[in-house]
Amino acid sequence: MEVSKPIIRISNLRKSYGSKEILKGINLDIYPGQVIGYIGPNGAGKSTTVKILTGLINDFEGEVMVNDIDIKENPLAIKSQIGYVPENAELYDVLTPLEYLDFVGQLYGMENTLIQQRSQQLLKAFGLEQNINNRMDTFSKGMRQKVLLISGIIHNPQIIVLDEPLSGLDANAVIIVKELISLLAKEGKTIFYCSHMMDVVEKVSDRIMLISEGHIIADGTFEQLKTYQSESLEQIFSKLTGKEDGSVEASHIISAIR
Amino acid sequence: MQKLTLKFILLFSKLWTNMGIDVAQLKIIIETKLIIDDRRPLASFTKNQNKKPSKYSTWFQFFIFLLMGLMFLAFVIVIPDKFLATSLFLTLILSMLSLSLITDFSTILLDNKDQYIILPRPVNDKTVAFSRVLYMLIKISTQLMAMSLPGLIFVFTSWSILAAFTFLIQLILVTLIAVFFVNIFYSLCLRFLSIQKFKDVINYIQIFFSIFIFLGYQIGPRVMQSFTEGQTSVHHIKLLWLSPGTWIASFQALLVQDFSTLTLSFSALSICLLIIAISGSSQLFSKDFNSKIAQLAGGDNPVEKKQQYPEGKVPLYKKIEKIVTNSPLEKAGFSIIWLITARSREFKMQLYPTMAYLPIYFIFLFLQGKNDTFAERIDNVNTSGLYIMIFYLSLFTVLTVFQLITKSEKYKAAWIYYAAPIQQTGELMSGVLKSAFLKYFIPFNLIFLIICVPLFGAHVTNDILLATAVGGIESVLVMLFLVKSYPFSQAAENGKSRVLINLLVLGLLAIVGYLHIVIHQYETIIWAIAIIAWIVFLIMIKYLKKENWKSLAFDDN
Repeated sequence: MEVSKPIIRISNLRKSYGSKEILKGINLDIYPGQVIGYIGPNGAGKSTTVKILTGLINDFEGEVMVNDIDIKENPLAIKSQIGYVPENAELYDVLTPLEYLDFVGQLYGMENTLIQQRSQQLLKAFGLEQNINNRMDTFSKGMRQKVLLISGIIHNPQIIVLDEPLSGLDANAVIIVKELISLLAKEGKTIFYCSHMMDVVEKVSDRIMLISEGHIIADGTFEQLKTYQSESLEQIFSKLTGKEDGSVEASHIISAIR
Repeated sequence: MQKLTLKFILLFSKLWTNMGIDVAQLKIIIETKLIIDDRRPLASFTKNQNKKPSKYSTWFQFFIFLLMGLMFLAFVIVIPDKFLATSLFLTLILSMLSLSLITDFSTILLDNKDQYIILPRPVNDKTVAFSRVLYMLIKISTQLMAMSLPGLIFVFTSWSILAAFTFLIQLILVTLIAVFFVNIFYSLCLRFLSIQKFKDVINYIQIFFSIFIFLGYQIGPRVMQSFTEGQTSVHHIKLLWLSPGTWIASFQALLVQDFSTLTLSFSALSICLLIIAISGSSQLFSKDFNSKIAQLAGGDNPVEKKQQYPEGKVPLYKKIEKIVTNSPLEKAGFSIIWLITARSREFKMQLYPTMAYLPIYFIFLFLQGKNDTFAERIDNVNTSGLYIMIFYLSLFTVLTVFQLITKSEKYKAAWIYYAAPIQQTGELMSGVLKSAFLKYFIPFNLIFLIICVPLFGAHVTNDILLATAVGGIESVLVMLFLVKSYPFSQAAENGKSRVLINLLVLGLLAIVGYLHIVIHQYETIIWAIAIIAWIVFLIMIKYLKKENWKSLAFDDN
């Protein structure tokens, strides 16, 4: 697939909060149509990377180029090419999904008619056509998550950044989203997928990156990562991030409350 | 101050334990709540607010309440009859406290975070209920201090020691009664009313109180006059008999050996009241209250309304939006304000009371002056130009709207502004301005036009035009200098008084309105100024669009 030049190029990215260095030199080339599974323990720097990539954080060292545009120089141009669904994102739930999507679409500078047309189709596709004119405060978590996903793709972005997109979705919806991800990739979209759910990452990603303590410590397809003599991604994860023996820790916990 | 109050309350631990309250739990719950209040929320998608919760605003608030306290003091000094003086003083304190408790504290009382944190733990209902009451008591103690301090100092320096101490005790009783009864009121409402109805009731109460206060401003001076002129006493003013403040004040009468039936029954009433307050609130509060609040957490469940607007029909706001806005960004700002202001309970709860002033003022306008015929009164208002004041009062609503639109329970949903490619924040904000202006200001002026032209003649047209333009200019200025964040992107703060800021803004508007009244007879000048003001307003909107709010930038923390 790596025929074209990278759509995202991150070189020597560093970011510190005060004296604490979160990202210690990240180098990445991501190509169009790739589904990147971005995993790592809590506090490893995952969400910092995402915030930089989506143009939310602007003061970092190193270089981030998206479509040959430097994100430091023109964050707006990049924001408009990215669809972002944050983890546990909230939305203005007194609105109806149609109104919310209208609002978001307009923030992305879309024309009214296009928004109307797309959001109706998308809501239908996600099985929300019954609720199209209901306020979202009556929605379940899964329904809201669907609306958020739609709001992330409504402007037809080149790159889609998803942070734990499956949280709150039931099994059926998970299947839809997984299917959606692979279809989007076929369309040539690049997907940056952050999650703790190893089994899903294992299945949807065609390239997995493991970040730990500010460094990328593994990068490759699931098959390539298997050379770490592990069967599942979960095992690889715990082996590489130094928590190989979870059972010992768990037994410490039990003895503490005994 | 707050810690001291807590310590004082915990002195009576034995009593609380006997009532079935777990004091250790009580202490930790309240302490934690106070800590939480000290730390303002740091949302990862809003601007970093690492500024200390500003000491100045607390002091400012204290100062204003102190001024209010000085006004109350006037009654105590001017009126020789201690019973009457205390009655008025306590009634005033009681109504101010109740007002604050109901308007500024409903968020605390209906806080549903308790739901997830405290209720799953083994804490009994009484402790939860009592912690809520005490928390309110602590939060309101500063206000109480400020309002009663001038009175207390005067009383302690010039009354006898016994009378002064009675006064102090009466003050404490009044506070307790205010807190307990507001609590009982809430729990009764919650028990007998559906959630939706209950929200409405709270709205009405707030509106009622605002009107009450406004009436106070209108009547207060006249009443004061009649007090100082003649030798009145509580026995003559039957209206005061209704106030619990008077009942409690009756202890002062007992001190001077006034054992009339009236005073004795008042004293008995106030003791009953206290018993009802304490036992009632521990009885009532606990049972349904928490489960009801849990339902509140669900937000505004709309009544099952199918299809708010049928397929293909363009809603009204969309039509207006098409006319007044250009870019998609401006449309986004316009529609979000239009829609959310119409639906958010917290927004409406805070806005509607401020609208209540208008009809009241209108009525008072015609009650001025005695014994005139209606036609004479209209003529009076017409020549004095007093009707102009109401145009400026309506401006107050739009200013309140601007204060409120940045705040929301759902402030975390504001992440979208930072993820979206917003080139010109001014575009968005001008949409916001237009929406608020058209929705909350123009309709008033249209109504005034319809009412005033037949009543006073066509010459009011230019006055309304001028007032509208002034309103517009003021809105733009407020937008530029006071609105510092995206719509609905900031967390609302607990128990911060809105009443004060509102009264101040009202005063400012009154000055502008007064200047207008001064020149209102010179029709051509008004026309000229109105036209200039409109031009300035339109230019300012253009300018606003080009503005880029620095304070809106994403600040990672």
